[in-house]
Amino acid sequence: MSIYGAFDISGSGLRAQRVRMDAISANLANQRTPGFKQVMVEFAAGDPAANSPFGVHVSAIERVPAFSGEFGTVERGTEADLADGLADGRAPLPQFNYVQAMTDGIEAVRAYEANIQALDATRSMIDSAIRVLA
Amino acid sequence: MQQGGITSTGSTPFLQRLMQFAWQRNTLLQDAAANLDTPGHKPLDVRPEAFQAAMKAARARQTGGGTPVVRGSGIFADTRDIGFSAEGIRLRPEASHENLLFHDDNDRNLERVMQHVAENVLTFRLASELFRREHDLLRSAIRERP
Repeated sequence: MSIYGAFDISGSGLRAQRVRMDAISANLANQRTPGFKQVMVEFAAGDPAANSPFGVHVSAIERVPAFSGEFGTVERGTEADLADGLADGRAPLPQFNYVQAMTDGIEAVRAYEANIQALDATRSMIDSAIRVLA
Repeated sequence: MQQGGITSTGSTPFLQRLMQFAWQRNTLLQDAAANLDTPGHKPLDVRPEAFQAAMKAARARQTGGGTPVVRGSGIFADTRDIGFSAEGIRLRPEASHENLLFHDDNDRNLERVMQHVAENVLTFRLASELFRREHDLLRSAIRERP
């Protein structure tokens, strides 16, 4: 691993948590969007982009069709209208769990901060190593 | 690389090994931080005590005692957790099982990981600073002036 390759591990963690936060934001923004399927991000160990066993990557982004039982009006013939197979100008509203979304959001932010700290630690080590030569 | 004479005596080889160890361990700690939310991930680590024991044995060899090195490099003998070579060290980390398992089968412990990151970076900085001062001393001796 090169000296700057050391940043790839924490960088992969930052990327993964950002994608997770994007998914949470999308779910939050679309909580009253008829036909919207919630987005769920899955992580797996390793960083294929850097060809490294270390780090993390987003292995899957899934759409979860969990609906609340309420319906909203949509344009007839659109994908959202056809989602429930009825094509009647109505589409189910997503089931939204505030507690889970907020908890996931806090977790993502904390994990992001942890990766920033790890990145800063690595930078500090490289800085010290360079000072040996100076 | 170990060379006879100036760089293989005193604390220099130990400081080199300590920096190599801290650098390698930083990779493992970064991996643990990156995988805090990865289902099924078990963070890998090497106990600093294992490294300290290896250094203690090497110090005994440097001063004329201790057991001879069967596998390793110079005065540094391989242990179960750490392999030594002229180019550097190779860690053989193990998964820690010191934490309660979460429902996603991850063995995370954020506080512990961040504590280890902080300790590890300070260890590296201490070793590099001591290493630098030792070399400054050497440079002064070569120049014959402070």
